[in-house]
Amino acid sequence: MTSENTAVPLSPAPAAPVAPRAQHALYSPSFHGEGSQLFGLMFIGAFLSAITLGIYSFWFRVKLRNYFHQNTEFAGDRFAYSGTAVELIIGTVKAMVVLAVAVGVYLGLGYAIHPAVATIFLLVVFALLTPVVTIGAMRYRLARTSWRGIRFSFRGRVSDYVKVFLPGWFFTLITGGLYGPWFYMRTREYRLNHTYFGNKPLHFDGRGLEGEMLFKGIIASLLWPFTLGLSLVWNMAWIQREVWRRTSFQSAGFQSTVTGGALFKHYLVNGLLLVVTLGLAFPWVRVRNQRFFCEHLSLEGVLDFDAIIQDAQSAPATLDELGEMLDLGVLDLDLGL
Amino acid sequence: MHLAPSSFRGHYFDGKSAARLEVDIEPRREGLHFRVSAGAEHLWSWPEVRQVQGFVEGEPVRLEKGGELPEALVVGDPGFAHALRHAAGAHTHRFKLPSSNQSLLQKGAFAAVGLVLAAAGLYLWGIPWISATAAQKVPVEWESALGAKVVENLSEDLADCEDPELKSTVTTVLERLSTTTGSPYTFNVRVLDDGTVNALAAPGGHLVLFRGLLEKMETPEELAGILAHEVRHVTLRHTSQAMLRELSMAIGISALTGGMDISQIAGAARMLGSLQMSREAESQADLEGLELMLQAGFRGEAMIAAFGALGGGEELSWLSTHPDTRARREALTLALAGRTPAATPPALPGAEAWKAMVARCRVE
Repeated sequence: MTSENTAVPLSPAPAAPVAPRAQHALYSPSFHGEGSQLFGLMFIGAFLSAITLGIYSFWFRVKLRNYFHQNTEFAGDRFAYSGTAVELIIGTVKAMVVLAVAVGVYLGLGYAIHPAVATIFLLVVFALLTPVVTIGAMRYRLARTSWRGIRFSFRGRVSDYVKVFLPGWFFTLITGGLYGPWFYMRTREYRLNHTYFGNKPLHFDGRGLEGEMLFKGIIASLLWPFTLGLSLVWNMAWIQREVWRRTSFQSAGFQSTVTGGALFKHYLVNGLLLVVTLGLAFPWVRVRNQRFFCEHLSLEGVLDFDAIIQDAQSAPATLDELGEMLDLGVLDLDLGL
Repeated sequence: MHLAPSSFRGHYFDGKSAARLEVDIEPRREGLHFRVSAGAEHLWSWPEVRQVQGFVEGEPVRLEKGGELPEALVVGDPGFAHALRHAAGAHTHRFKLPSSNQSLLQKGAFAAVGLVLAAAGLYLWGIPWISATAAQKVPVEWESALGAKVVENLSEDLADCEDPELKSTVTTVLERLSTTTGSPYTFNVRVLDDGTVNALAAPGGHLVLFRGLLEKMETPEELAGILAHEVRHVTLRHTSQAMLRELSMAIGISALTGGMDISQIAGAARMLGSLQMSREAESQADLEGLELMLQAGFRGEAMIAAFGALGGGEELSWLSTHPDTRARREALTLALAGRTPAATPPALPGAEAWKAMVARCRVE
C-alpha cells in the first residue's frame, strides 16, 4: 500500500504568543450525543435506505460515523470524520470484485482439482484476510479521522502485521487459546505503535502482562458458571485498566477507570432498556456505550499540541468495505471512533 | 459569548499543526471576518466557506476553507448559526441551523412508521410477487440440477431402501401421477431407510420418502395421496419460490439495516415469515394434489386417510411448517365432497402385501 507523505513544512511561529505553554494536565474525552438525536438519524437513514433500495445506505453510514466523531470531544475540541459515501461505494465495488475472484478460484479448484484443495484455499484466504482487512480498515478510518484539523494515520504495513498475526493466531489455535494473551499483546502493540496523530505515534507495551492475563483469564472462565458470568465481566474490566495503563501518547499516559461493578451495571441497564422497549432503545444504548467509554478514559501528562504537525497519509476504502461485507468486525480502534 | 452584537468568540485551526488559536469572528456581507487575538485580520469570502459540523443541538458550528487539509473555524455559541445565515446573502442556504432533539425524535418516529409500512408492503406483496414471477422463469434444467444436489446433501449419511417390490410399487404410483400432470419434469423418488415421518420435494422433480412415513401408510393408495401432494409442490415450483424469497429477503434486510446490527431479530422474523408462506403453499399442494389423485384414478378418501395417519393431533401451527393436519383434512373432505376418481387406478398390491414390503425395507 503506497502512502503519500503530504506533510507541509512547519510554518514560522506567529508573531504574537497565542497558545498557552504546554502544561501537565488531565484530559478526558466526553460524548455529547443524545439518544433522541441518534434515534432520528438512524430511522430516517434506514427509511431512506429502504426506499432507495439500499443506495442511500452509503450516505447513511457516513452520517453515522460523522455523528459519533463530531459529538466526541477531547480537550475542548470535537473530532471530525472526512470520509465520503463515494469512497465507500468505490471500495464496495472493488471488494465485490475481490470476493468474486476468490469465489471463482474456490469453485474452480473444487471442480478442476479436488474439493479438499478448495477448502484449504478457503482456510488460507480467511487466515490471511483477517489481518489484511484489519489493517486496511484501520488505515482508512484513521486517515479520515481528525482532531483540531490534524489527521490520524496508520503507518504499519500489511506484510509486517501478517508476520505478527499469523504465527500468533496459529499458536493460539494449537494451544487451545492458552497463547491468547501473547497473541493479543503482540497484535495490539503493532496496531497502536503504528497509529499516528499528525506526526506523532501512540505507544503501547504489553510485555510482562501476558502471564497474569492468562492466569486471571483461566480463573475467570472456571468461576464463570458459579458467578453467572460476573467473573468474566470483572476480568474484562481488569484487562481494560491494565492495557490502557500501558498506553501512552508523547509523555502523557492513558488511564481507564472501568471497574467490574461499573461494567456490570452498564450492561445490565443496557439489557433492561432493550428488553423493555423491544429493541427500540437501541440508539440510546449506543449513546450510553460511547459515554461509558469516554467517561472512564483519561489521558494525563504534558501534551504540547503546538508541536504536533499535520502529516496525513492517503488510504483507499477497499479493505474497509471488504471487512464490512464479510462482517469481520475488525474495528478495534481503541479510540472509540 | 458576544463581544459586539455580531462578533463571536471562537477558535481557529490552520490545518498545519494542532495549535488552537482564539479568534473573534464577525460574519459580514462580504464574508467571514476574523482576527487572531492581537494579530492579523483574515477574511474568508462566502463561496470559500463550507459548514461541516453543527447540525444537531449542542454541536458547535465548524466551518472549513480549503481542500483536503483545510483551515477551520469553530464557534460554540448557538447564536452564531443565525448570524451566519443572516449575513451570508446568496449563500444562506449552505449554512444550516441545528435540528432540535425534539424534531429529530419526531422525524425518527415518522421514519420508523414509514419503515414498518414499507417493510410490510415489501414483505407481504413485493417479495412474494417477485419470487413467484422469477421462479416461473427458472429453467427446468437448473431446478433439476439444484434439486439433485439438495437430495444428495440430505441423504449423505442414510441408506436407501433396496427391496425391489417396494421400489417398483412406489415407482408405479409415481409414474401414474407424473404422466397425469403432463409436466416437463422428470420425476424420480428415493426411499431412505430412516424413521423420520416425512416426505420432501426438491426442485426439479427429485422426491425423497422416509421409511417412517411409509410405515404409517396402510395401503399404496394412501402413499399416492402423499406423492400427489409432493408432485404438486414440484409442478407449482414451491421450493424454488421459497428459496428466491429467502434470498430477496436477505438482500432487503441487509440494505435496510446498512450499519445497524439487528440481524438476529431480523433472522427470527424471516423464519416465521417463510413458514407462514409455506402454509399457503401447503394448502395449495393439498387441494391440487387431491385433483391430481382423482384424475389419476385414485380415491380421494385415501389421501384424507393418509393425512389422518400423519397428524400428531393439534400441533402448534405457528411454529410448524405445516398447518395442523385436522384443518387440512377438513379442507380436503370439503373439496372432495363425494367425487369419484376419473380413471382406473393402476394395479397395486393390497394392504397386507404393502405392510410386508415396507417391513422388508429395513437393512439389517
